[in-house]
Amino acid sequence: MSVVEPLDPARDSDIADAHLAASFPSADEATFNAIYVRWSPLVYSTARRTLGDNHEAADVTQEVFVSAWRSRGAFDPDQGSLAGWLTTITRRRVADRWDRKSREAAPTDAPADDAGHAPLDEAVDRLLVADELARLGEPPGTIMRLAFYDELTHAEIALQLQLPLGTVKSHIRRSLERLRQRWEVDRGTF
Amino acid sequence: MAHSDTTTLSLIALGEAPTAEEAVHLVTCDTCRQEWEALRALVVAARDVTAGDLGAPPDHVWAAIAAEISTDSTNVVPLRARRSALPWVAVAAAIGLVLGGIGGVAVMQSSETSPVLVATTPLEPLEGYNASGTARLESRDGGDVLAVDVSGLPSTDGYFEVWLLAPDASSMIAIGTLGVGDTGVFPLPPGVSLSDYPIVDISDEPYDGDPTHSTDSVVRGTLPA
Repeated sequence: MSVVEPLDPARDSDIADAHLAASFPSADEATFNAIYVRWSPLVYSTARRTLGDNHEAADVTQEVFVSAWRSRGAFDPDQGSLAGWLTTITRRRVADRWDRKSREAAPTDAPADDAGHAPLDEAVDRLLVADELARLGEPPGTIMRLAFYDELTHAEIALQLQLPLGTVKSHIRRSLERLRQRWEVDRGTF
Repeated sequence: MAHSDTTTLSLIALGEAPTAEEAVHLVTCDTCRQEWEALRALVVAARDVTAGDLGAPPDHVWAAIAAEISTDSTNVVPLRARRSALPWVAVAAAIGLVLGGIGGVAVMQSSETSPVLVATTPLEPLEGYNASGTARLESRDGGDVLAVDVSGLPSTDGYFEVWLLAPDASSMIAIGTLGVGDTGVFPLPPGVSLSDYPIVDISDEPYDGDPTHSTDSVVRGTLPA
């Protein structure tokens, strides 16, 4: 018996992402708005998680995208993903704010060492996964939410969604592979 | 036993119980255990965020960005005053000379991690010159550096000095001199804020012993905040 591979609803979003990234270095304002709509939740949510403040997260988001716009000619789509590039800028802006706060709190202290930035990497990792999870399409998105958050087994998911066991298993394998691959691409660059 | 397939490892990473045979294999097979650990890290990361954690910023953020980028221009800020009227320049430049001196030996090409480009700007000629180039602010292991690459510099009896200027050119920091060739990498003093000193300026300086800006700028560009 041959198992029919499920369609990959996420592929369209990959193509759209690649298209946006390729057009970014010479983007006009309309294209840049599309890029903003696509990746601002990732930037904003990473800032919010690490700074714990909606207003500051909004300010960082503004800084990151203005900076990205002005440096867009320097982005090379062949060197890495745009999500990775934007999160690198985000990381830096958040770290700047942490440094500023710690200097204000204790002006004579040396800047925070790298160990203090571990939660930043962790936050970026987690939001990258959340971002990719939101892009899986259906039914993989629902299957993975049931597996991750409701911690259902594949058999329980198959029962709940009235899908064949093999289909659910296949979606789980492909989705995890995809999430992992995207995760490695986005955090492995810049 | 043959290696576990990816589907099996995925289900175990999600918390489903392995068979006894699979469990034994995971303990004894490095390849499969590493694969499982990578998948497990992903599952842990995914379970640590919920759909609600990923949210779009409020609408006013884009409005502010759109307003800011639509007013972008490459306006060149002229130096407003002559050196004699600018005692602060001497102080800034004196600091700059020290830093420039350090810069000559302190530039380290760290190979541990690749530099991260923070901001970049084209350098455009001021009136009477044809030189142009780019300046890149990079974050490296040892701190921030400004990497400058220019071409078409005029011949000079003096030398070329690289400066960071305040937006209104009311203050400036000399960060080093261009040596032989048209490129240079200059470490920035920690704590220098890009928003305070966004303008990269290269001046033609005579060998007159005066550490202040000659006011003879050749190229200039503004790093985005």
